[in-house]
Amino acid sequence: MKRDYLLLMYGEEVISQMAKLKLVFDPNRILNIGNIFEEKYLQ
Amino acid sequence: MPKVKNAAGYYCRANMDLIDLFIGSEGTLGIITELKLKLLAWEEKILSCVVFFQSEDDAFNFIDEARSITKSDSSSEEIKISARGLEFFNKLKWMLDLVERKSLEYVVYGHFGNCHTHLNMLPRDQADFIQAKKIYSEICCEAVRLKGTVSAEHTASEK
Repeated sequence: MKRDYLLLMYGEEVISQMAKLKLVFDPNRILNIGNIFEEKYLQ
Repeated sequence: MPKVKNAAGYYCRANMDLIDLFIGSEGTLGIITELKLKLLAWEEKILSCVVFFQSEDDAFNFIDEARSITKSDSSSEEIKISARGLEFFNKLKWMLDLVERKSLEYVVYGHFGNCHTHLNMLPRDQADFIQAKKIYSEICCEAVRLKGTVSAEHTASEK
């Protein structure tokens, strides 16, 4: 999966920030879970 | 964010337009239910052609020259394309060497103007496939090391 490469490129910190941003738009976690980052970042 | 053409992860820049966050977000931020499109006037002076060069140097020099006389290219790039192009070409050779060493079949093409390759490895069997994935990973690591991107086009969601 290419999301592993995004993690390699940006690192955990930035990926976590991206996940936080997603939660602002999608607090119910219903939109394309698993794309861009793993679900574990959405806890 | 890398300063090169990039389609990896959410876009982020100071004073950015919200639409740029949505583009490439792979449907993770919202669902578009209505769109208004603004059309651009048709550009009348477009020249499209395929040119074959004798050597890579010739190709890079052409890009360099074409850039310098293209008025619409307002980017103030300090690094000359020829220097960057040479580095790019060395990397391209390095990439192809990885693939050829494992006797994988492949096709390669790309956009020299923005140092962007399309390397398509063509596995014949499962062993080739595993090998190709390893090479892909190695190339991505090198791209990241050079402050580039793992995905310059399309999105990263293709599984």
